Amino acid sequence: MKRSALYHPHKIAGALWAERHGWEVAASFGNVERELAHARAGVALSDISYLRKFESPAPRPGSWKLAEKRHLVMGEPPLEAPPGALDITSTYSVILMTGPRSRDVLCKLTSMNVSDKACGNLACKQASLAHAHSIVIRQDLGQLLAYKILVTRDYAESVWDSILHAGHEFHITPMGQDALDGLGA
Amino acid sequence: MSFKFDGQDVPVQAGDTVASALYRSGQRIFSRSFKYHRPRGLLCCSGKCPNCMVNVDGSPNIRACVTPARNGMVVRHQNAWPSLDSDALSITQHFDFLMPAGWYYKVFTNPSTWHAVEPHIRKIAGLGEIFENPQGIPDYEHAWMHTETAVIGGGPAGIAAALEAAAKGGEVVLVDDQPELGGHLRYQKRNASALDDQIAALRSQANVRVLQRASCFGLYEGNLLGLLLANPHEGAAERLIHLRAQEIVVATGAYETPLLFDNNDLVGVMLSTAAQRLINVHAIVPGSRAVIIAHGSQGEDVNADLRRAGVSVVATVAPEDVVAAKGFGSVSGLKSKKGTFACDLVVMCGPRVPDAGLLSQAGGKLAWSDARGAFAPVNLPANIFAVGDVLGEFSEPLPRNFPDSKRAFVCICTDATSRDLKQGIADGFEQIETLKRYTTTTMGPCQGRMCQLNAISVCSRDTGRTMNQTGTTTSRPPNPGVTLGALAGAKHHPIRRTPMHHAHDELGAVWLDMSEWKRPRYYNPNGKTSESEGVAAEYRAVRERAGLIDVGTLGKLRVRGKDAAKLLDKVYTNRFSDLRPGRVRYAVICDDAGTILDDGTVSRIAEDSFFITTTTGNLDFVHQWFDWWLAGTGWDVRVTNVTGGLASVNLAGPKARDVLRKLTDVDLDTKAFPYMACREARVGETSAVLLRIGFVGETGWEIHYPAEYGEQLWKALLEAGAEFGILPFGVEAQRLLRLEKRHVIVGVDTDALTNPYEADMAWIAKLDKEDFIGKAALSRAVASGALREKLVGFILEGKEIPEDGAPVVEDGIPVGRVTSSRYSPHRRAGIGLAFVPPEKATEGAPISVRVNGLLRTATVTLEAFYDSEGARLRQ
Repeated sequence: MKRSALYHPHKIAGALWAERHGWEVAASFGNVERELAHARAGVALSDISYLRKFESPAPRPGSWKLAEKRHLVMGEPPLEAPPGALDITSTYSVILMTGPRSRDVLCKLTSMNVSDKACGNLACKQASLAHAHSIVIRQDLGQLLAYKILVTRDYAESVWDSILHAGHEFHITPMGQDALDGLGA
Repeated sequence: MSFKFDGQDVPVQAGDTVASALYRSGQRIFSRSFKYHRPRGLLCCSGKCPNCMVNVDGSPNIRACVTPARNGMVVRHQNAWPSLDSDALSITQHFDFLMPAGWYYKVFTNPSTWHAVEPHIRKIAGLGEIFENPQGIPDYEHAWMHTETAVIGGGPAGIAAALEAAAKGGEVVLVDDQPELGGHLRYQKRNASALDDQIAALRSQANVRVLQRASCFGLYEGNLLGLLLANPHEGAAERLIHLRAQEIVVATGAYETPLLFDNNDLVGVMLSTAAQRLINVHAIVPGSRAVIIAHGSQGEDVNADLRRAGVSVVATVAPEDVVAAKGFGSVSGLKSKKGTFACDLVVMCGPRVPDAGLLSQAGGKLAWSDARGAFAPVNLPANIFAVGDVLGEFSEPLPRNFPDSKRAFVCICTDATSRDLKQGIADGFEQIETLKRYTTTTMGPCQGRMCQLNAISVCSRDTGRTMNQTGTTTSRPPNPGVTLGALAGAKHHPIRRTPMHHAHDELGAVWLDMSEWKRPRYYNPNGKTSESEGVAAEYRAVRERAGLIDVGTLGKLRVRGKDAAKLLDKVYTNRFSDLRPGRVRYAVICDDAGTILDDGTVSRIAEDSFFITTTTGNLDFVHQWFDWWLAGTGWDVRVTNVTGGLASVNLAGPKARDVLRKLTDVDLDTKAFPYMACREARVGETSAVLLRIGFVGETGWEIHYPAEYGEQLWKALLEAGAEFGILPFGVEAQRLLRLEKRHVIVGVDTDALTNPYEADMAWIAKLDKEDFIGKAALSRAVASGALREKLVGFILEGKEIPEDGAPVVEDGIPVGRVTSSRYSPHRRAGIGLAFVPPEKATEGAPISVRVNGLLRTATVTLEAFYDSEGARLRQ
């Protein structure tokens, strides 16, 4: 099975595993209710690197513009490759940060302005985050503040650790797919 | 609640600072002065002067008067021996005649003398020492904030400005360095209910964030403010906040500074605002008999506060009538022209100074006004505003009758007196900036707050210039000081890991840091293998059987588009437009001067699709280099960095084909899959790109495959190779193996000036190509025929190995240098690469190399040390 860059930190955090689209993903970290509660009232962190990602030369419906002729297409597998696009699923890990305190955590990791005015829902920005070049996409889950953080896979474990460290004061917790499904993600 | 001070328990009340708890418990001496070790007590009580600096939990120079007292903290005095009350080093003040202003510039002109005495001077005249904190090194963190309006200062003016800005609807951040808002109204209790209403109004605004106990230490370009927040949450010592604001309102107010008279530093001589803080904030009676020094009605408020607290105010003396404070260590009286008054407290109503440092840093100017008795800010830049007392709109003329005395302290941080300043001016340092450097006045921990005005006054009077002509010293950030821990931030260094990182850990990898990457240096599977044993075993496996190395740190780029070959022809020195799909070519990038910048491989996957590898450290550079040369061309080329998405291994050795055959259907026979060919194929459960290349000099394949299968295929290859005796090998074995093949590493065996001819790679520069970066310079180099030096191989006599960088010597003069050297098991001798003069670059020429301080003879070779025909690579 395919393993994300965060397989080992998840294992240490006590992940219970499940299979999703050929990937070994964390279903939960033992207590789905607790993970949901943290996501709703504080902040929770999930790995959704299994999402398919393409770099497309032309914009597509729902794509994110990264630069001229560089558009990010991202979605649940199976997602068909747009014409002329390069599959970058393996290149980027995707970390999802959910919860009202997620902006406070981001403020400790990046100089980018993540205020509601500067980075509203559906904004896509690029900045250094925890010392790694990152693509930050704000995509709220209903009313719940949520950010997708894309970093190249080699930085993923380091960035994951840094986010957990920065979120310690807000009692950040890893959250598995079961809780994420519960949030309607 | 209590804390320890020099081993004694000190009880703590709610709201106490370390200083207030100590003062309440009877402590009056808080520190010893920097040079003369004179006892010093509370002076400002607001975190501005140096007098209450102590060591808290191992950290030195913490101001007790603004540090909240916490249960169990360990507080120690500093710069006194054996104790604060009786400091043996206070004897130095009796030898002050030996140490006038600038004395060390005059006495220690001989460097050897200075080096002999410097450690002693540092010991005697130091600030605090660092002790180990029993709780370990605290956590520091950084944070970034953005706002429309930042208001610095939470006094009445700052609160009013924040409310006004908030009413306009913008986002406002109010920064205040005190535990409570209110500024001087906190300790000068006037109109308190109106203040409470304003604070309540402020807190009810959703668009206002209030940062308390946050000091603003600098204003930088682009309206960036540096803030330091103490104890942001449990477990964190400090948070450094980078606050960017569209407009900044400076409402930092004004602070009181000392008056200049004999013995003005005695314990018990304090500023009126300090006495008011003790009385009105901490409910402490500061003394029993007080004398107030004040102009006219200036002292009425503090007089009322003192009387209310039960202090007997025996006299109010005008500053011009003061002669000297009396007392030995602590004040026992004040001598004035109108008589001597016995007292244990002297309260100075000193001149107020606008706290305008941030305005100066923003580019504003300060102009003196005699009527106001202050330097006030003028010419503020756009989007910087000042409100309240920082504007210096007082009417308090400055006292000008200070004595020239060796006990009238201008700079209490470094014990510089008015006489020292006079001496400095007499020595020719009559500009305030040079006088500052000569006497160290304003250069201590208070950063000029307590002394700048007095120093300028003395300088102005003694040079006969006006205050404006004298000017001010420069305010530079950080002010106040910032701990190094706060600047460093969180203990989180970025680490880049390959997909097999944890598999290497399981195999006992000993790690090597290569920039942010972690790479196995060698493997120590049983915990007992030395580096030399491990490397020898890994070397033998590759030469005799099979070895597997993780090369995932190589930079990897996909270059696609119909003009891709055109771009590669432009940036690389050799040709790629004629490279057939399915073939690989070694590639070198040069700059305009013909200097080698990077090397790697270029594989043509399809007509308009290339797969490129770069060296580990140069990926970002190469990517930018491509983008740079693409800019404005209009060519159809897309460059994508796929480094993180690919796991990469090199499987090499005489048995490599047997190992790989077990996992793939692709025909690996050398006729079907020759040296320098590439194929896309399935290996194990994944798709992969296979490159038949040989950095280590054996039959081998570089396999690039999706990172999510990283560990799986790595383990599958090791399992498939177990029957052939495969071993994983690390960077050290790889370096030895490639050196035997005389393969260079760019940046190790080349330097910032090396061109391909000097690196003995003339074949790589295709000067018949229409154009490429560096062609002009390389053409000139060929035409002139002049080489600076040339990279050659050498074989040493004997087994000693020179260090990298060891000199190549001719007639006692260094003429070249070794770039890499190892013991070669194949040649049973030391081998290496070295730059030598071009005339020495001939087969068999003898050279001398310095090894461990002795000259050793070596023989030059232009051949590879191992398999110079390359037969094994092509098998």
